[in-house]
Amino acid sequence: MRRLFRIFTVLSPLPFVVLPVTALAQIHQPVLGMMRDGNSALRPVYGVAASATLGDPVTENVDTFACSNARCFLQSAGTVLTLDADGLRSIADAANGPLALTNEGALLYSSQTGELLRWAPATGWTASAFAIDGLVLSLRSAGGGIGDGIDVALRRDGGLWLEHYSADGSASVFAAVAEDSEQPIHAVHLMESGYLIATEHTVTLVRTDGSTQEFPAEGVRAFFAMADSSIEAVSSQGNWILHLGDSPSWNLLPGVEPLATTAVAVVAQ
Amino acid sequence: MKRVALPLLLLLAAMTAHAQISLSTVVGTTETPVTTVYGFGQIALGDTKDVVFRAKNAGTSTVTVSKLAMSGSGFTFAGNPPIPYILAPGGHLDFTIHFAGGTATNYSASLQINTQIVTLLASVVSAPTLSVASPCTGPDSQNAISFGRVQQASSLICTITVTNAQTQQVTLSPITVTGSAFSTSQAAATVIPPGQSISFPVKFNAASAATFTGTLTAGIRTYTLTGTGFSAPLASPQFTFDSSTMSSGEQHTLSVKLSSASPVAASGNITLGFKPASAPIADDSAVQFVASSKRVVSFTVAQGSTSVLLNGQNNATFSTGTTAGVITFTMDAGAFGISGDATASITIAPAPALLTAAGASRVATGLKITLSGFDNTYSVGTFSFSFYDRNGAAMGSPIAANLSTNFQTFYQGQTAGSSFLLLANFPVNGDATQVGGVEVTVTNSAGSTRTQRMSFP
Repeated sequence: MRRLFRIFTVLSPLPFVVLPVTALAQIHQPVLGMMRDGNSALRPVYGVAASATLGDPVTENVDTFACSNARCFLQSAGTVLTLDADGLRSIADAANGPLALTNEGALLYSSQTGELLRWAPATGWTASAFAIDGLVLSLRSAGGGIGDGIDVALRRDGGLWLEHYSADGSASVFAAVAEDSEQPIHAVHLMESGYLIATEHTVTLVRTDGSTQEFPAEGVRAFFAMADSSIEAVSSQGNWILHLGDSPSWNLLPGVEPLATTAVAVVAQ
Repeated sequence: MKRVALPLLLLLAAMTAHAQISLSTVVGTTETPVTTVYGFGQIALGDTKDVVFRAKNAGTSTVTVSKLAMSGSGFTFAGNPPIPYILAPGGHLDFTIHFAGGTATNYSASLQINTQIVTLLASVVSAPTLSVASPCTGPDSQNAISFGRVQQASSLICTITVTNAQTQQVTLSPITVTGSAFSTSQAAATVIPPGQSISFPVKFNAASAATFTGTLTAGIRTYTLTGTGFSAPLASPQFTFDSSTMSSGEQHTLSVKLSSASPVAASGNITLGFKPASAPIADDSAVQFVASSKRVVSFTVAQGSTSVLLNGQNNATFSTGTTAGVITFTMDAGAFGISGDATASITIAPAPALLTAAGASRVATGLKITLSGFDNTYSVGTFSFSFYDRNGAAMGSPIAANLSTNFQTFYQGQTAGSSFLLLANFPVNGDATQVGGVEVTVTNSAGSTRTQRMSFP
């Protein structure tokens, strides 16, 4: 945990101190973000994308997560937790659904209740009815806040749609994702600079300007935001990191040893 | 009355014991009952034969084996049976009878166990002599013939010669070979004229790396055949990489083929080693096979194939780390062995610092510059910051900063590579908004790297 605290300290704004230039230089180990490893533990990833090393697990049994450079949100067994410089703490006991980051906090859409849940450090959770027709796979805040509404990727009528919902709930489709019946889309992830879709053999980055870039990867089934500029693509054959930037890089993330399964004997009393 | 009664009681006891003891021969776990006569069969002149007998208490009460005796020639007890011997109900006593006849004639003897008597018979006959040609050896004193070691999936044919030294012809029958690894094309019987020999081949086929046994029966003699299959070492591996040139901060794939087909289905490990070029650094843990975060990957190769699977895949991805040095791959096939060189090396050359991200921002009273990258020489220290105004004109001379001490401290004891995140704050006197951009030059022992111009928002 101590290493994790350092990550967020490093990535958060530094206090201003008047010192000679050399004394004002701080050197740290770079953090690429957080990843969910093959054992569903959340770990920091250090180094550079192609030569990364893993830190110790921060927490385990992670179902989904989304991290910015300053904060993580994660879901574990129906509980939503947040992780920041203050540590890991639960912020909701029963909330399931796709997570997205905002400038201040997080969004969570609950298909069960038809509510859009918004979390910010100052206000905690606020919920509002938000009827979305379809199975929401991914969402993002439009413009980083919540005033501009949200964008969602959803399945409806056998198709994959990208739709914008304004704050008042009015909806508009901004993209219909063509899907080959022989190459179904297994995962989609909305992000600020575009979106990602995963088919059986390929991950495609679709930028907001419509340009695309493909990366080879077998069996990707989920995407998670590792940090502001890094996305984790999860597959049964290994996890990948897409490091966004002028020239996105696509590299395999370090794997971990599978946890040994422990036989549990049940003794009748 | 007593003088009469005691012998009567002994007789009754002996009769009872006779009825209770059953006699059989034992081969392995198979018992064959013996009644009044047991034949050792024909035994070649000069040969001996041992037979294990079992005296078993078939009754429901304890019985004592008080007498175990042999009379006659050629038959003896092997060892000394422990007499008297008390047999509990169901219990048994095993003893071995050894036959060794001196001349070619018929032999008989009486075996007595308590009051039970069994006649033992044996017939010693002149027999042809058998010899084997090199590379086979034998037969030895146990009538064992060895085919030695034969490479797996190949075979060896040995020539067996049977000589009739007698003055009359001999019919050699049967001639049989048992055992899945052994075979012969020789007819089941043949006549050998006096003073003549016949030869026939026996083939040993080593299907796998294992020891095989069989038998050769030639007339009245049976010989044990043994042969061992062994695997030839794997041919030297050919390591192939997805690129002929490699640098730090990269991922590449390794694939391996054997220079010729594997003689066996084999397995083992390929180990990755790393030797940093710069002495202060002991290791770079990011140099590893990525999928497992380990420096070893298991391999398998099918018999007859040259393709080597790494962890079940056609190739394995590895990271070059962020340290100059030499990465070595070594193939170890364990007991299968490898002929030739089983190692490949890659040299990661020292290079100027590589910056993976750079950013410029404003803070309350100054400017903040962020640089992220790595220096595979661990010698970075000199930084030069060139500031530009909003029109793109240089603002004075570049500001040099020697951060060698900072980096040396940071790298001390580092084993996870040379990646770094540098945060540099610049207090600004005056109107900081006039500063429009900055370029940074980073110098290490291998050269310099200059960023693109970064704009302050």
